[in-house]
Amino acid sequence: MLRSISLTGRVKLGFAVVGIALGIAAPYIFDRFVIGLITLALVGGLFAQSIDLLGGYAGLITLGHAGVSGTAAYGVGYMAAKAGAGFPAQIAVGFLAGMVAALIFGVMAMRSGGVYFIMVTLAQGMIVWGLSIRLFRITGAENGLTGIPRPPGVELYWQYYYLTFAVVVLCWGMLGIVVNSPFGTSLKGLRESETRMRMLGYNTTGQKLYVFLISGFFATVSGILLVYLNGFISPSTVILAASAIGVLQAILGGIGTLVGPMIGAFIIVFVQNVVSIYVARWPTLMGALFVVVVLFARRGLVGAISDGWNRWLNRNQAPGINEPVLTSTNQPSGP
Amino acid sequence: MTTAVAPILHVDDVTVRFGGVTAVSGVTLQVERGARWAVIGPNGAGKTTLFKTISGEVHPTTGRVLLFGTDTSRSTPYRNAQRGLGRTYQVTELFQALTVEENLSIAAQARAPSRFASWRPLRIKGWIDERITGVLEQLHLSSERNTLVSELSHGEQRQLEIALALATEPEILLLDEPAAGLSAAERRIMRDLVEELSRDLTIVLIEHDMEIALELVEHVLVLDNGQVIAEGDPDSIRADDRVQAVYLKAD
Repeated sequence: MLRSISLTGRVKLGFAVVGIALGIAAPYIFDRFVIGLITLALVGGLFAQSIDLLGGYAGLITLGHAGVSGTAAYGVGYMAAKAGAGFPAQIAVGFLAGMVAALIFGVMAMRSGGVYFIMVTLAQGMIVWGLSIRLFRITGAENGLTGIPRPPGVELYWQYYYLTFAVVVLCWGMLGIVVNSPFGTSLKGLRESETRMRMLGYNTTGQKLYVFLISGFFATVSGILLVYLNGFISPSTVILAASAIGVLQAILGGIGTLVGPMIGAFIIVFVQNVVSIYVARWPTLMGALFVVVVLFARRGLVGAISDGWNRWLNRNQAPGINEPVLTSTNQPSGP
Repeated sequence: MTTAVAPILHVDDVTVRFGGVTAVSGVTLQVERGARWAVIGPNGAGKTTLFKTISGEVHPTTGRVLLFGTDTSRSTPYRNAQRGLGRTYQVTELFQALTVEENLSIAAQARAPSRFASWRPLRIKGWIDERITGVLEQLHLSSERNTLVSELSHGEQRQLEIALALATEPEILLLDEPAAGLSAAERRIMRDLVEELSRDLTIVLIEHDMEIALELVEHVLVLDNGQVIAEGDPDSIRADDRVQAVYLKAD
């Protein structure tokens, strides 16, 4: 069984097994502070993956996705803090709110592409932010909504960590199926040439709406996880920077992959929260890190690692041996 | 002479204006099923605009386009493609970052319901595999199946242009300068490839190289300044003084 999988496939499988084992063992290894950060990074990573499905796979870069996850979070927050509803109703309304936001966003953005898509989604995110400040009765304006308890059974930090871990692993698996499906492959076609896609018979407008809804689903899940993790929601959850950081995480880790956005999220969460203890100017450090990655690893950290891996394979395997090697690495390196 | 069967493509007195510029002026063209047509003319004659009007990328200002007997004057490219129209581009328009196989799998599924299947992995087997294999053999690209498109030579990319259109199994194929940018040797290969395409497939071809175009088709439409200046079989076109004049002027 294992023999039929390529060396690269086996290495990936190995990383997945180690990652899941580490994820299960984490509460026994790390203290409460670190587990809190890991939970935050997992939620952020799922959010960045939902952005990458649009940006990295379909070539539709969004700067307003916090508007989708934030609407879901506000839905939960309103039902919990204002309406006093039970958990099933909180989650149902949060989910519905997020998906309706994704549908409205998708319908508005689906006829655009490229820079226009970025501008439309940017405006959509700003509208949600504006509403979050204006609609005092629903959102609590600048004060936000506080005192949102976690559902029974996952109140404790490590319980909530395990819930988050399980949901993120499940979503990751689902995303893995989507990007490798016939539809996922056609998204890459959309990224490469919309003109050709139309002429082949693809309704590219419909494709964009569909992928926006799938992406919105995962953004919604991340928004619901986030609001229970923090116990509050405020306009700072839906500001432009919240959407932009998701895009940055995806680029840092490597767009067009699912593991990249997750790695990017871990790096940014840990730089923000750990390095800031020792270094006052951590945003400068993060900016510098970002510039270095963009300059020297165009395809992010995962892209750089996979290029290095393929080079190693090329060197260590005689030609003709089973391993199919990405030929892109045969290009001469350097300027 | 009247035939019982409606032409597969009927361009009926089509005029296309962009602002003050008339790109196509009163063009009429009737293409019967299985026929091979060439549209020739100097640069700026309106050949590509005529193609875009047929494919739905541009809508006629006046006149009608009928595809398979249906008025498609206001239709869109994807709807026309679903009806059975294929089109290639003069400037290569491929999925550069994907492999040849991935390109063709996208094309092969373009007219199948599975193109929206998102909750199961893509598997190249069954009819998809057969179609990809068949198209690759037809276009002499079998050995490049797993190559990234960006690493193909220009000639191979031109061949893949046609392969992509064929993978949708069109009934009528518009070829926009298939030999554009090719060397003399590559042009001969391309000429043979087009020649060998199924006779069931209706082909309309734009080609700047008049000799290649005339060898491949039975019917020719000559455009100049958006107007039809001649129409007929290759021999009569070769002998036509107006066509000679236009080409001599252009060269």
